[in-house]
Amino acid sequence: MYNKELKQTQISQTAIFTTGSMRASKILPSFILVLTVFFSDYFFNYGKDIRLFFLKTSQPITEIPVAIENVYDRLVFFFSSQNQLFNEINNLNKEIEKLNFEILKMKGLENENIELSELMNLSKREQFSFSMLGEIKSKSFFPNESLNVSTDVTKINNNMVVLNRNGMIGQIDQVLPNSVKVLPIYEKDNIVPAYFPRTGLNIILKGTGKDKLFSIENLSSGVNLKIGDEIFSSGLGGKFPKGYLIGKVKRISNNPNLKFQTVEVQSTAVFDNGSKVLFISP
Amino acid sequence: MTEFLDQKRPSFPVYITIGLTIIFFAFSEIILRNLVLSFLNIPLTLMCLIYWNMALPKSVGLTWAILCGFILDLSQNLVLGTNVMIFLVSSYLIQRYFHRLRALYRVQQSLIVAGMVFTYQLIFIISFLNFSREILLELILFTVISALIWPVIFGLLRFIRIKFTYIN
Repeated sequence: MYNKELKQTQISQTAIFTTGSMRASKILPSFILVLTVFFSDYFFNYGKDIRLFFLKTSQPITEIPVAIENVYDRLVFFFSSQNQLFNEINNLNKEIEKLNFEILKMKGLENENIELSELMNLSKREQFSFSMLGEIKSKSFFPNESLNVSTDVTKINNNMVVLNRNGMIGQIDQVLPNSVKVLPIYEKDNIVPAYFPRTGLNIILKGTGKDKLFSIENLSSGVNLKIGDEIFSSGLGGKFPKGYLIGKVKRISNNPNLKFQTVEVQSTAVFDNGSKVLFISP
Repeated sequence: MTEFLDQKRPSFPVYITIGLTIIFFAFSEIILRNLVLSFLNIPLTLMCLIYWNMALPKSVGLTWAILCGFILDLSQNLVLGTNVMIFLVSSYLIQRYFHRLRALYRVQQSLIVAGMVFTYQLIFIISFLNFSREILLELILFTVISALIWPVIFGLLRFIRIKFTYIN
């Protein structure tokens, strides 16, 4: 309240006592002085040195906008180039991913070609009575292992055997309209005639359906077997071709009180390997 | 009776405050001129001078007007005294009629300021004999801008005057 009154008093006092007191006589000396400076500079250029000095000294101030602009440009450039680099790196990474995928595809193709050429060689070398290539479409894994293979089903019959690059792997279970269902060679109750090259003994292998295992039927306990003995297909019966590795002896249970010994054979067939198979008739 | 008036001293010398604001506006004008790169400009120094002559006619001397006029002449590479003469005449006119100007509404003050800015810019155009269409457009544009920013400058300088030159 007091302050407000104080201000009002001051304002009114100023309004009363301060008049437009500036007289021409007061400004005249300054004006004459300035006019003198003006004409002397105009005619004799006295201000040249002062002007140069001023321009030099005031340069830091007058160039502030330029400096700000430069800093702004540099910042924009820095962030834009940084951004550009990031984008470039991202694009390159995407390209690398694409190329890696292409490499994988090419590797797959190369493997397929090798596989195909091996199978073709096998077919040529063994001189099967009939052979035909098939392409694996889908695979089912243990315990119900099977392959679905597409091929020309008109030339396929149920007695054919299936080979891949690793050897004999299975036999045909069903001929479907456009594909063939293949079961592994060690499928339960599947019988494969075989022999021991070491002893020359012919045997019958029977699929157990348990983790790639065969059992040997009716093997007398007198037969000398060792763990790791290799067993090959004998070709007897005419279904399976002769001379293909079927498996190795894994376990022998020889009870002297029994007439026959129990032998477990581990199959060497790699059922789900590769993408191509060969159907053959020996 | 007037003891309380004697206690009222400025917290910061008025004369220095006026000088500093005028110099600040002069350099702002120079920077703005370098930034915009046009023939004409918003005469911030003149507007600052108008305010102080109107608000504190007793305190504002002619020295600051002369000094800033010379600074502007030097920065614009003009003949020494060009701006000074305009500033002196403006100061004289404003001080002569300051209590009439004070009583005006802000809009009316803006119009007076626009008139002064227009005349100020016109003097330069005439002295350089540069009458291109762009320059005339600049003249109108900067006159309008000056009129529009006058209330802002007025408010800012009034705030500085109250804040720094009085003890409540």
